[in-house]
Amino acid sequence: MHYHDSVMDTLLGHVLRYGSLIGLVLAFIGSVLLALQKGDVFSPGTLSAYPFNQVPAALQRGDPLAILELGLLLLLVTPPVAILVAAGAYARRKHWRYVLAATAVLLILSLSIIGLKL
Amino acid sequence: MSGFIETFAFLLTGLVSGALGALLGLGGGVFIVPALTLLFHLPLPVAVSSSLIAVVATSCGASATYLRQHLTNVSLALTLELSTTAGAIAGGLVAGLISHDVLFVLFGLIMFFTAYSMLRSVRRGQPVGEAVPDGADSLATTTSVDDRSYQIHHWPAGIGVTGLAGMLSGLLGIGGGVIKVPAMYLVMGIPLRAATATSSFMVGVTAVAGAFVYWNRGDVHLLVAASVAFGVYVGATLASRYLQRVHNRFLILLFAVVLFYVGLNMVGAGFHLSLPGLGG
Repeated sequence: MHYHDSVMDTLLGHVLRYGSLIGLVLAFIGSVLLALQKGDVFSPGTLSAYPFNQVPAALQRGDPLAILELGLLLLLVTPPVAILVAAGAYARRKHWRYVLAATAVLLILSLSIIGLKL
Repeated sequence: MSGFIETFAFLLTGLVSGALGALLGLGGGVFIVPALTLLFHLPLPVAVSSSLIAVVATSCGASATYLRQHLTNVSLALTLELSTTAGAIAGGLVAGLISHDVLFVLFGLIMFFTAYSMLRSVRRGQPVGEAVPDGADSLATTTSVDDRSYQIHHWPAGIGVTGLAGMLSGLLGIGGGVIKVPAMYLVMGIPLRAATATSSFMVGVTAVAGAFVYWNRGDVHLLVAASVAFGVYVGATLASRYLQRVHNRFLILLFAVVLFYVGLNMVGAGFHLSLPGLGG
């Protein structure tokens, strides 16, 4: 069952390490800028996230909240990107069973990202 | 209290949780949710979502190391993730429908189970994060991790248990490794080191599934989540790099007692009872 690919392991490791690191650093910078602003930023409802499609415009305005949100979103998409990379590596080797598994996981994750509701 | 001081307090909470998690071989989530709810009195969904995002951060860091050592079974992780991610989404959705009191009690029970796992590991002389239930010895594999030739057994049971772990992750904001690792080792016959590495890779993907459910419901407080996640990542990285994992029986026993007591506080919070010490 197990298919070992050291190149894939190394690539996945890099994606996870650097993706999460960049996301966390951005989120930290956004947090510090935001925390330095006056006002009660910790009351419920004071820090609502921008809808995903409004983040680029908020970033252009230099909004610290958008920098923070971009950082967290980068962190959260890092594991799905790793799954995508794994799917590509398995496709190269024609291990279609695992390509199918990775694709199915990504589809399930996309349900969560687009906002599945009960 | 200004925003800057509160941000620092949440960062410190993450730092301590991450360091403790690395020292004890546990995920940080089991410390983060009680700290944010019992000490900072944040709403449970905010604490759970912050914990899930922190779990993603620690999983990415730890998985990168395990992948470099070629211990992670990616193909197995992908297959098990089918049920785990679906479970996490279901857990996140259900968490929005049921009473927070029930979730507090459930979290307390998970803390009792974690404390019990720690005590059992002391008895067996194993690392805490690699504790396995009774009867594990009879299932020890005859193949090594390095030659990758181990057989995987009981797929349906493994998929079922890891799906349950995913659901608990989405409900409570924990990684679920404390359930996945013993299940993979005991039920599926995967060598312990490979099970630990594979679980570490899986919990990040699972936590993403749960985190976006909370995000889309508006239950993520960006500043709390970012401060805690950054703190956990730094705390776990520093602790695993510069400190030895705790093997001292007395210290593990002490932490297990603390975990049990915090679990009692979480159960107490579910019943609107306050125990001395944490202000539940």
